[in-house]
Amino acid sequence: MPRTSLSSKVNMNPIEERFKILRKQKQKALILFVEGGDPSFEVTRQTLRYCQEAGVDVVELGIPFSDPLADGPIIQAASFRAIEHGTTFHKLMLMLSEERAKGLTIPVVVMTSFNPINKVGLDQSARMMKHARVDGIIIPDLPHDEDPSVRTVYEKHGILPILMTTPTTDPKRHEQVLKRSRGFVYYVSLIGLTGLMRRSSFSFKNHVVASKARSKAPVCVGFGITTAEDARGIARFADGVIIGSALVNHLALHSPKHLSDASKKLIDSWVAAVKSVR
Amino acid sequence: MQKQHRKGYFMEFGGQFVPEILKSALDELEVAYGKAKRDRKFKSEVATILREYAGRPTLLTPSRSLSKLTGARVFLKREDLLHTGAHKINNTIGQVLLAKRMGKRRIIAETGAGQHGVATATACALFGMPCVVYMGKKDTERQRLNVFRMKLMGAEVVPVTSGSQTLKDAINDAIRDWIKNVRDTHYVIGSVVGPYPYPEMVRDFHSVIGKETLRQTRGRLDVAIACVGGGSNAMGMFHPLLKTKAKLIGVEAAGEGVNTAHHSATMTKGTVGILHGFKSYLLQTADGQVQEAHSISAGLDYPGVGPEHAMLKKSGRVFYTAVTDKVALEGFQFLSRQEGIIPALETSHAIGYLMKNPRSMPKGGTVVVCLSGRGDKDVEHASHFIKL
Repeated sequence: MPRTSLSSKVNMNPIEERFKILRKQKQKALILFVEGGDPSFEVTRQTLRYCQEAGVDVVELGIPFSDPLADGPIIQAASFRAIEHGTTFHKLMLMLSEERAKGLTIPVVVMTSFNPINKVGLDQSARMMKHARVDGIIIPDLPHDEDPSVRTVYEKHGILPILMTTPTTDPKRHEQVLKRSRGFVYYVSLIGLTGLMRRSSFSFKNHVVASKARSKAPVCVGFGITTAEDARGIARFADGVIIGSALVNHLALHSPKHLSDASKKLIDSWVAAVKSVR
Repeated sequence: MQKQHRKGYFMEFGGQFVPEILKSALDELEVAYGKAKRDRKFKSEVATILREYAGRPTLLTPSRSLSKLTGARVFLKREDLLHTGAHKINNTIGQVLLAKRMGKRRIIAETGAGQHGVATATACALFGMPCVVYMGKKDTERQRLNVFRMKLMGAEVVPVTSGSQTLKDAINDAIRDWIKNVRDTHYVIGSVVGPYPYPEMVRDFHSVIGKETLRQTRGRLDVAIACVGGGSNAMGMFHPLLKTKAKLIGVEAAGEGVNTAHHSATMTKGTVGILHGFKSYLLQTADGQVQEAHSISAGLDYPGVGPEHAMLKKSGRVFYTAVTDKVALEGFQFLSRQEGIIPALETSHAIGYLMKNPRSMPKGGTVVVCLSGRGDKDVEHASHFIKL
């Protein structure tokens, strides 16, 4: 039986396994987001491979959607380009399956608006994800209590539902997210959209620290994290750091034929920053 | 259906499919609206403004030409006579007053053709609230006069350059603005769409249309017809009539035809999907990407439809159909020529349907068409299609 029973150590989900190792080594997680198919399938493939090589802990693979609500201009534009190239959920799952067959072992989380997977069908999409060995799923426009049966469908296939919480989430809801999120908790660090930002302080620090104490799963912080310096600063108090727009933006500015050395260096700089924190 | 009675749902349609950050704002709105709608003072304040400022109740005008054509007694519910020229102001007055009660300091809205934007800018001017209207860049070019109108009343108009640069993208950007400014901003959505409680709240503010119609026909109403884009004027007309025996007909825009790629017939051709925070019928690809809707009338080209309409279609209580641009233009000319009333191109779809199906009306029965807006805004556009 592959990876369905989560209580059994033998079949532990790769995300949980990774965090367990990190905890032992007293390290923090670096999670990177790539928009599937942008600027090209080839760059997405190479980025996935390079993330594994460089020591990134988890990759979030974005499924493009025509109308993403929580995304700022960078990921919106990436999403549109990917759709224009003919990127679909189906093609991305095929690509991931191929990469898995070639030795890609890094934990992968699918990040998608609800509509694309709802259209494919929840069960069908879960089966396709399982086949591509997707380890978790984040659906930013599906609040955890909107349709709890969705979580059940993916969990049944060994795909962990990762839930989001924010600085302004009502305390009761916040507790529910901490209790129900699997793999990790996605802490949205700002009242706003995904994008680039420079921080002077981390006003949400205490909330994250308090959340960690009450959460079963590790608490990782995302939205607006751009520089290695900020990644390091946040890694000092969070269990992990999620970077999206900064990478998507960089990939889009470079060759769609292959992953540029500059992008590799950028990834390296984030890994170094996060891994420098103990 | 398991979810039939779940809060925020109409059968399986509706819900709150929004980023977590908006949940607290929707909860706040739900509580505030729940209180307001039970508050006599609030209700009478809305009613007074609608009466003294917007021009309610609106007339019920008998249409000799349509009566002759159908053999029924056809009346027009004259929402076109309201201030700003369409039903939209019923909702914006209500929502902006509610926002004030909630202590919000800033209003945002989306607009397609500009009618809802103008109605929101109007309410904001009246109540002294700053107003930002998101409008697809393409629409700002097509509807320059409405942009000017909004600015004249003090609103800021933001051209939206994302996506298809039309109404659907304007809604996305308005929601994104709301995410960023959720503490002090109220989003005045312009139709019976969006996450709960919007579909219900917008319907309630428009239900004055159906209530007046019931009074004006003394409850003897056999058929009601309204055009459906997002579906606000239709929901306002239909909702008070659901308990009656009246036959209800919703007319969508078939654009160049429902079997072409250029239409807005969401309920005729759409499949179930999630857009703008709610589940309903949606024009989308097999991969779940939302498709652009097309119609000669900018107010109907929305790729989704209000969740309550989706329920009423599924339950069969309302009959939904679609007519083409061509038929709408015939309705537009017919009413102008025969009655001296230039209807909005949106409304012209309802007129066109009636013209094409005169025999389906009950002989001697009472038929009401919701004349949702006046056509002044459309005359320039229509002049490209009509030779006089």
